[in-house]
Amino acid sequence: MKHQETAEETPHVQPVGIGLDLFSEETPQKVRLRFLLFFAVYATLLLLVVWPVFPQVNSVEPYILGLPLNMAWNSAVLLLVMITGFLMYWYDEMKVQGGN
Amino acid sequence: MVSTTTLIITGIPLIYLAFALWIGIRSRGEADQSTTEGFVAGDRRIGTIVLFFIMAAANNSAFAFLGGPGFAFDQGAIAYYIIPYSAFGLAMWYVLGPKVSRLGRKMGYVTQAEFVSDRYDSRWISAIMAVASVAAFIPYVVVQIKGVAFILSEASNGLIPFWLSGMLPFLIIGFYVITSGMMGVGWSNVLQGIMMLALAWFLGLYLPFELHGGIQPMFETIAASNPSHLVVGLPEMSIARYSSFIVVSALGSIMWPHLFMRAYTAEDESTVKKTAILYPLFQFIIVPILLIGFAGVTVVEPGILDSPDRILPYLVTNLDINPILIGLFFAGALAATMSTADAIVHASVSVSIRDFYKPLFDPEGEDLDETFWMKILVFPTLAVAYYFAMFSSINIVPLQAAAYGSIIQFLPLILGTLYWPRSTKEGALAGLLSGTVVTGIFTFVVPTPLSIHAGLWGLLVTTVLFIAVSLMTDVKNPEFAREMIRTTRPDLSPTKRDQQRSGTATDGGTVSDETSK
Repeated sequence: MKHQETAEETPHVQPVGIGLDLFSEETPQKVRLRFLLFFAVYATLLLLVVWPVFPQVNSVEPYILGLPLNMAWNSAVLLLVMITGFLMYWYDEMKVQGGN
Repeated sequence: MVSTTTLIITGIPLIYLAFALWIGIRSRGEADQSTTEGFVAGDRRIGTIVLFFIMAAANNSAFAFLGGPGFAFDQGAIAYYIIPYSAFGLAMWYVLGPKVSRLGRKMGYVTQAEFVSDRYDSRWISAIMAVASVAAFIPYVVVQIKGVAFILSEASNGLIPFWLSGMLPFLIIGFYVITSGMMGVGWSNVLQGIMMLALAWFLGLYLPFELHGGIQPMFETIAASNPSHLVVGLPEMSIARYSSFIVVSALGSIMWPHLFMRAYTAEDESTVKKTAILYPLFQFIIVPILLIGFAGVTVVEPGILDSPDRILPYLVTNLDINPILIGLFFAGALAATMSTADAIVHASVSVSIRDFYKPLFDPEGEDLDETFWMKILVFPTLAVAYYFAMFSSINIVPLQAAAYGSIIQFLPLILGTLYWPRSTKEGALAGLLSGTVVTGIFTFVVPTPLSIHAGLWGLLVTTVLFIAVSLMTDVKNPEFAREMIRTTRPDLSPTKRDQQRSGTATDGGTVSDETSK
């Protein structure tokens, strides 16, 4: 329907492979690993709020900052998701501008 | 004779409504309202602050001040699942959003279904996604109209009749969506989001102290009277079901078209990323919102409320609070409701024309006609929802659950478009249809196995069939499949990279971190 002009692209006429096409060929190994690491961190954080981890903290006591443990746990995971996001953005964008 | 108190409590929400209308209409000049790109995607020029409030305020609806506190009041700890899930959804958007934004800029897409149906070269995929979206949108708006009608008629103590209370805010939404499109939705959401934040944090901290002398004393009182209320598990909900709700919502929440397609509105890719990482800041309001609901436990007898959703209005109007604060509460509840409703109405008319009408009946349509018909469709869409909210004896709210079950099924197709060149049209159609059917069966016909969220079973079926059928069929246009994936990536050709670098210090040849996507 809305194909872009592909004149400048190198032609790849090989058949499509079965695998996923996750990264550009030019993406350095370090960046790929970092991306997969962040993916693993998010998956772990999600695991913290569902079975089988969540039942371990599914109790009222001890209270943390006035909140029952299970509610504080969910809020803490939200905080960790936010921190992970900031870290990810820091590595993605800030370090480029900082010229590291 | 109307008392001064009633006038104050009614007046503040009305002032807010006038202000929302003014903000909505005056933002029309910020994008070209006669083009699809301007009306639907705000000329792709929206910055971080506005986009942040669009995502945050649209994600938190009437649920924030009615359903949410009612959930904690009535069901207790299982309401905790709404604290973290949408932040995971936005984390996914951090990765997918910039890709979709790039695609939109290069190929002219403005809706969610467009790039998917283009990739699989199937207008039926677009039509199915549009039907599922609108089928989920209408009941969503119905819930908001019922909420608004209750809020305004309650605030005015019956001075504004129920039918008018449900209509007035939606007339205002209709006006500013028509005049200002995406920009009207965006700027009014900034106002609405700020009001929600202020109100939720104030009430969530004020009510526990006022009614129980503190947050921990409040929970201790609840634990003493009803220990199981503060623990997730049966009788309310099993851990398996609770877990499946979190997973399905984490994966599916960003698939809502009125949220997902906002990637097109961002002025650049880092705006999408910044919005996604800032989003949890807003999401913390769920904590005070649940505290409000818990504050009612042991204080209010559940029997005296028509519905648990009424807990917060009941608390606010029955405590001896300054009428100005009560007025602000009702205005804030209106803001929460309207910020979702305007986004949905805007997305619904965009999707109806762009993803349903155009591919099926008018593939060569003119740009100008498109926005004209989108604007024409605003009030009929609202009228349908208004009819179901006010007059129809049919309760269409359960339809939303079924339609949402279908919306979650978009995820594998979208991931396939962005990452899997081997995925095919047949695989996409087979997955989408069977996943939707499975979700529907487990929602309405037979109880869902292991009491797990029906949408998760649907997602499993979609994924399996999407992969299996794709592998059994051929990719019609492998070059386009690869080309599309290349387009989603930042341009890494040497000339372009040098252009991007110009003006900054050289970095010794380190490859840009932008390449991570």
